[in-house]
Amino acid sequence: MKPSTTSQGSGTQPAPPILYCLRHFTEYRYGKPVEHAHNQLRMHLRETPHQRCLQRSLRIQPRPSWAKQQSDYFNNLVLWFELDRPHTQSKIFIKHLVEVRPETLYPAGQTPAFRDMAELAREPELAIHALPSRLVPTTAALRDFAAPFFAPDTPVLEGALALMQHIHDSFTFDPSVTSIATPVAEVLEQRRGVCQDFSHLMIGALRSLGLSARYVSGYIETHPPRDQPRLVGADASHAWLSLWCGPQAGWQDLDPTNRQRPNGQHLVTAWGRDYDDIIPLNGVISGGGRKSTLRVRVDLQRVDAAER
Amino acid sequence: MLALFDQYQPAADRHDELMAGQKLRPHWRYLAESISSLDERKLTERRLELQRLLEEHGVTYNVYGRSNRRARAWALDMLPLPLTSREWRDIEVGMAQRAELLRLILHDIYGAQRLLREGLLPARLVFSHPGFLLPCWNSEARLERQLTIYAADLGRAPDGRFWVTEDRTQAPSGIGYALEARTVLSRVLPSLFRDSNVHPVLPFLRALRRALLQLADNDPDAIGVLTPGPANETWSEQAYLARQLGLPLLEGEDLTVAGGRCWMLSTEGRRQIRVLMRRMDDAFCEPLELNRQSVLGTPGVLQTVRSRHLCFANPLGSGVVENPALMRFLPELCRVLLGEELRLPSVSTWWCGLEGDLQEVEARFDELVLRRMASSPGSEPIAVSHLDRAGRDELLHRVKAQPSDWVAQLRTSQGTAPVLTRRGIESRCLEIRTFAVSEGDSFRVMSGGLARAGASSDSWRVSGQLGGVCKDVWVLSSESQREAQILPQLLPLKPRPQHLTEPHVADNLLWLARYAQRGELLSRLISATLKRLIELSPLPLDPVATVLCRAVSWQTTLYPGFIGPQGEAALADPLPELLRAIQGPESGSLRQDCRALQEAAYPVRDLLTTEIYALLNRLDDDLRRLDSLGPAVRAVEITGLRLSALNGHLLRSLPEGPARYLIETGFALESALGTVRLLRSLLMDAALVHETGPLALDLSNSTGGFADAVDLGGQGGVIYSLLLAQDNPCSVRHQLMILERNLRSSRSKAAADRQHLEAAVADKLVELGLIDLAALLGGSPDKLDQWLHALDDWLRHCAQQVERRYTPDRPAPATQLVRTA
Repeated sequence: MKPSTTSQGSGTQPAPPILYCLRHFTEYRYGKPVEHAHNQLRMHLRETPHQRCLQRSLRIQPRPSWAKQQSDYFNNLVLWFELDRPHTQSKIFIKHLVEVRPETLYPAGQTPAFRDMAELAREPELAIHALPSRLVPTTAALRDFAAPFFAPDTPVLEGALALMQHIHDSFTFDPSVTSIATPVAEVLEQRRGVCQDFSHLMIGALRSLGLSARYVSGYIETHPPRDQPRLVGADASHAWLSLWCGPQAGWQDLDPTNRQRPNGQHLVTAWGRDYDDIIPLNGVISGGGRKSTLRVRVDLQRVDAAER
Repeated sequence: MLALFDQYQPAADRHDELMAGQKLRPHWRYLAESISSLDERKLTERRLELQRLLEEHGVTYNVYGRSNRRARAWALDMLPLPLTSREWRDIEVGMAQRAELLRLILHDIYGAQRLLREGLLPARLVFSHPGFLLPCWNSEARLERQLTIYAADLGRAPDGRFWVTEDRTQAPSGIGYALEARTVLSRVLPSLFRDSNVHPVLPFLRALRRALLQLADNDPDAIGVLTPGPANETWSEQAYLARQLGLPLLEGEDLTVAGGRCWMLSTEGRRQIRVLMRRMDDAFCEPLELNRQSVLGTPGVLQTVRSRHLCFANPLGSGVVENPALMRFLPELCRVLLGEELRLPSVSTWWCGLEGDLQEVEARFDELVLRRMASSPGSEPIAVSHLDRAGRDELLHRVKAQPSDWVAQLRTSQGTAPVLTRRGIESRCLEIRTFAVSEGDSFRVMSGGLARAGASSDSWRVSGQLGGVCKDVWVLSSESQREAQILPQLLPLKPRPQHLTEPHVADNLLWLARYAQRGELLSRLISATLKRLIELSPLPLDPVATVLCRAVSWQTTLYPGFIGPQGEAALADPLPELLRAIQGPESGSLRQDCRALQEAAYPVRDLLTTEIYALLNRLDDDLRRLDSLGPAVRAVEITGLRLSALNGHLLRSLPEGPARYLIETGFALESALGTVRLLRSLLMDAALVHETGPLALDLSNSTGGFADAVDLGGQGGVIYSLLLAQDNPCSVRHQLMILERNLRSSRSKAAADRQHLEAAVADKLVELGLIDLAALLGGSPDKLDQWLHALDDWLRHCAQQVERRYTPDRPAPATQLVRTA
């Protein structure tokens, strides 16, 4: 996902609920027939206090020979399915009608001081996000990177917002330099990356200070220029993060790619320790040859309630 | 003091098994006296007998893994480790309690996580351990399935208390070795063993089988043993244990997940598997959700576990409690979870992630062994006392930089025990591995185990001396033991028909026969060629010798060899090329045939007799470092004799039935292929037939078959005999008749396949019956060769079809949709 050009969305007036229609189309084409495929899909939008799914439909081709839906450790919805007939292309089409309620953002200045965050609750749900994970290590370099923004009495969210500003200002959004899994140390050194890299980087920096931060995947509404029609397919999967800000403020979302506190324009699919926990579509296929091509189209549009 | 033991000098600062101060421990007396009463000659005899039993019956086997590396034989000490029933009772109670405790901890970590919530277990200890596999979290997991097999390594504190130095909860190895050690030692020291009233280990094997059966709702056909494959260092033990349990040994590729269930791919289709006793490390089992780099696992298995259609023993993710830092917390966890004191303690352990522990570690640094919380290759434990000043400071610095990664344990965690070496009795450090298996809601502990003695008196872990020598653990009873002690009755020597449908069994039998037949013909051909060279020497090669040399190249497929323009040069000095055909490293040489044969035989070893093992073990012993004609002839002839003895044994020892059909089929196919190649390389030159004809008949072991061929002249007569004669049991036609018969009498996974193949063979037999040999011979010289060439192609194709029939249909190689680091 690319950064948007809008300024930080810190306007704090509660807005009316927004109704979105989200279409996500994925297609794989293979050089040779795939005999059997095992897949794991995390593309269903979550229910959150701000987000409610009104309708959902899912189509998979070829028709799965077996499927099962279950929640994972983080309570994300996961669909496991198998394709057992030989096929050279598979398609997944998922459509959501979802309502998002923008809210008055929690005032950053009222979050607990950084020094008090060390006394975090022992809840495994928090502890697991304070520790390094496979794609997000905690290192001295990351700690040094983040430390200047966190004086002992800095409210933790203020520190995080300053860190986010810093990442936004000193890193370049550059889809050409990263594959799916650029190591965080490399991102830090090269100062470039995509939303996933910036999220991993910032999570690593926060965790290196002992804070709990989790990786969030989902979608974002990109703004079309005012005088042009909205382009279908211009929206893509996006990633950002949540920081634990104490029991009052709870988890607060931060989008370092857009230097933004998500509010109303982000749709949440899943969260976990890092990308690895919540890959949207993961699979092992047998056969398929060496070459495969992937085509993805995401379309996110506001819907007038009247249009429904 | 007894003669053999009077030089014995145990270390002063450790507990010694044999001596208490200057006195022999009472429970050693009978054993020590008996061993001492054996004179030098008798000791040597017993030692040789022990070695022979290990080689011929046992886990040890000169198997050449896919890595082409000779598996190292394990060493078994003739001196067992006796322990009193009283000592063992404490271990039993402690092991069962510890297993129960670890099971509860696993169930909590992968379920409610109450221990984390209440701060009884630091989150870092769990979440930062690589054994913690988040996808294995399952709030509905059943407690009694959480741990089936538990193993612990036991050391001794200096005051003699047993303590645990390692907990093994993933896929513990050693049960097979322990059974094997008992089987062998009870035969080497029969009367000593009988009179010592040793507790049997066999009941443990039955308990293990019962536990697996219980997980499988009493369906023995739904259980398998999952192995990483022959490249794994303990593969032979896995194979041995699987056979002892009567369960199929399966690799990841032998399993598939379909419809949310797990299936074994057999030669007759698929069969549902509901329990896998795994010897594969957890993450490797599942390439979809756990280790995406794994090529060993079966995608989708974890979901079948969640849906309760499959159960691993032990469950995936159970490696998380192998974390040595956990030992630090076990006493408290035991009080909380079981309301009891921990009966079998751990070696003194500190986790540097706790400030108080770190201080203590620093204060006692020199007495300690430092290890990573997460063991990985290249992060072996470090004994501080083995470091110099600078190394010590550097280590302390590293520990303080990332304290929570480090665990410290007491260096003197092990006691010592006597080991019988060629130099006499010596004192070595010792560790005992023993096992517990789930039984109802409790655990049953093996009455015995396997002790490992280091190569020095210091810990083998620390000194880097892996392996060392093993000892059978004898738990002495006051009463005589009526239970059967030795195991051979457990080995199913008669192949069950069902057994043959297991993956790897049928195709290995087929290849076993093919390599044996191929090797036998090749050794006859090479030895005939070498003899011809000796006769001619020092003259240059004559046409017959040239033809023979080329025949060697055709048979071995080691090209160019003596073939073509490059072959001319080789003919000028044929010895190097012939030696390559004998002992070269490329596949096709006689030595490689023998090795391939050994490899194919290994997975089906329990179908084969002791004589066959013995022959297999020594098959290629002479095929190395040969550099001249004379020794080469002898070596090849000896190898040929062994191969033909092997072939004879194979046919004699197998009863009528599927295994025998497979062996006969393999012989028939390879014999037909070899004969056609012989015909093409020896008989195409009519002018030489007066010499090459009898040679060809001799090489193919032919008898008879001339009667019908008198009209055809020399060349035609030999060709007729080798190709078509029905009364020559070595003719190609005869082989096809055997093939046809066996195809009819064996079962197959798909009737359509069978009929297709049977029809093809029947057609070929008709064709051979109708062939006009005179016309073929009368035509151009190439015509016969072309016809034979076509026959050769057909036979190869046929061999592939036969093999396919006995190989399960496996899915195509798997690839990941998403690539990550």
